[in-house]
Amino acid sequence: MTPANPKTLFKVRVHSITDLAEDIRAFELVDSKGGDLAAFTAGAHIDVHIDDGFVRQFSLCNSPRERHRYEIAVLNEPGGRGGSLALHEKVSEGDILTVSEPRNHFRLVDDADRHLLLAGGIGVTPIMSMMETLETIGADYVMHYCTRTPLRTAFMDRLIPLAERGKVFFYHDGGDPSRRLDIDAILDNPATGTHLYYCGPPGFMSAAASAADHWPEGTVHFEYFSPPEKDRDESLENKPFQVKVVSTGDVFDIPADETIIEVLRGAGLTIDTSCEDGYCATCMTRYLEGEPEHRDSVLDDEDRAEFVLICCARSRTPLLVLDL
Amino acid sequence: MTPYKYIRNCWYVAGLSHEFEHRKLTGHRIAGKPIVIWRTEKGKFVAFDDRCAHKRFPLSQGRLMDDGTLECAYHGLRYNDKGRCVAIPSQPDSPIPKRAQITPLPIIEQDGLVWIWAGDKDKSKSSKPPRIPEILDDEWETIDSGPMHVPSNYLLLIENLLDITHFYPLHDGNIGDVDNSYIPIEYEEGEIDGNKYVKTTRKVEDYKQPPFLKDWFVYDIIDRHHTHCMMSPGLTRVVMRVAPPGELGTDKERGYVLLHTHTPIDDSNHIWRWCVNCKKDHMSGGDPKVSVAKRIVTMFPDVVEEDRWALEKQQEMIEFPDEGYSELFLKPDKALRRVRQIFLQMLREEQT
Repeated sequence: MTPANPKTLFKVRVHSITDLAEDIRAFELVDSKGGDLAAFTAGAHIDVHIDDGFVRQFSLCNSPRERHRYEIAVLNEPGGRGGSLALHEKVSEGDILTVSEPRNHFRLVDDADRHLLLAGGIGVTPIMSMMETLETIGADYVMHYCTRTPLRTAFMDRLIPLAERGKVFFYHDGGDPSRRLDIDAILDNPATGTHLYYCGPPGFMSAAASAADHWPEGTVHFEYFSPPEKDRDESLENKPFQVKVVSTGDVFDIPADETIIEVLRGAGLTIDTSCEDGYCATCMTRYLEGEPEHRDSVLDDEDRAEFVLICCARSRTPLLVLDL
Repeated sequence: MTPYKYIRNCWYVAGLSHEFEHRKLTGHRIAGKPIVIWRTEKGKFVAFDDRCAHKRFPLSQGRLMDDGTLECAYHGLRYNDKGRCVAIPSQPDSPIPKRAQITPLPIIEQDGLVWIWAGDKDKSKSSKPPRIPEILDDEWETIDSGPMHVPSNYLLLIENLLDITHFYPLHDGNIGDVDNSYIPIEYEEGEIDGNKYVKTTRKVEDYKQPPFLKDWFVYDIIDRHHTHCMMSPGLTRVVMRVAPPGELGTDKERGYVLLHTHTPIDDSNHIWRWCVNCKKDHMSGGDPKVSVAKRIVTMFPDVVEEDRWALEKQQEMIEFPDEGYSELFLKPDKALRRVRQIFLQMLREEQT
């Protein structure tokens, strides 16, 4: 099987449109020339080129064994960027759409003992194709599906038989946060060999990320449908700041596109590093004033209160004073 | 820059006082220098660069004459305890050349240890050898291992001592277990007598002592204070204090002060001496007729052998080029990272 080339675009015909739930519409797409479509693996998505220049990604929610069709499910978000609205209002059965070949950043892991799937709202779409594959191979899995109300819950016809076998659990919060699934409880004690997959709206993603913080490395998989919500006030944008070297009193400007060590080395200071990637802590430095923006992956809160890895850290305050 | 070199400007232990007989020449290789040490008849220590002024011959291979002079084994040049050559057998009637002189090294006998400075003499006042009260104190029984050669850089031993989460699995079943790895670590650094120190403290309550520790320190379930302090690049001090729950600080307390001296020979070899100190009146649990110190000495070598194996293996791996490899930091490595930074700073200062 030739791997799909995500840059390749081709034409599909809208074979059917079905309302799955309130504001959720499924589009069944087939090859405009009637042949097989490029194969995909569970969790994959395609770009859909909507008229007026929109390109949006949608997860494929049917079984990867089906080569004759792609199914996508679109939540109508009138307040969104316009892509979903265009699909809901302007596309009809028989229309031709331009799509890319599938690509997958959200794959199932081959050697997991158990798969724990969490879906929030329209985030269920890649999870649906995952469950098709897991059912096919007879894998051990369970899915928790969080939606506002039953009427807003898609794929009930496919999910109810699985729920009856204890594979799927539904949670309806009615928009009330106090009735939400206790994600911390679900993710508290991972059994060895369990992999977690989650997808949903921004608040759901933050809650899951935080609840899965302690899971072993490599066992947590997720996909964002929209740019990640700002997490705990940390801006991912680089801002310039200043660093003071306490032994000399010299102050250095750190521009947005340079790291602390780049500037200090450029000024002739000797700084020991090894990985320069926030995990070896060779560059671990005590700071005396200011509030770092920690970007490493190894220091805990206790150590971050005193030390900073200067190969990657930036600063939240205009000045960071380093014990150098 | 790698920290796995040796610091020259530092006091290192050449041996315990009792290792040096009066009027006996001993040869040492410390921090890249050949050194001859002897104790004069009056008990004073002298140390020189081991190379005869004439043809480099190691003076430690020579002999001490009755008048206290050192005679080189090769051509018989004789030196006094100031390092001046006082006789040249082949030219008895000529004046002795001014340059017929061997270089004295600073040497201090203190607290039962003999400390030598193999670096720049001018810098030898920048720090003092760390003080150790127990060896000469009659209330403590002191037994030491004697010199052990380890085919590794000495910083690796310091790192081993400052991170005892290696007790599982390396010492599982004798002095360690996995529960030891869960004990939270308090961290302290500072400077005493010109020596930067790094110290970790591990406190635990209701801990079940692993087999060797129970054998030595009697009790089954204990509260424990366990500290490891690199006092200087030459010496690490380990203190273990145990007692039945709630009774630390009472006369039920047991434990040891375990001193480790790590004296570099060169980049990849060092001499390790460990020295255990226990209160004289403490008897072991394993054999109540035997004092704790004596009991430890019969059993500790097995543990030491496990560490030595680990150090040798680590040294082998360090000798491969990194090529993109960097060590991963885990929380207990905080003390080690700070020690490495201290070493790098000291090494760098020596280069300029």
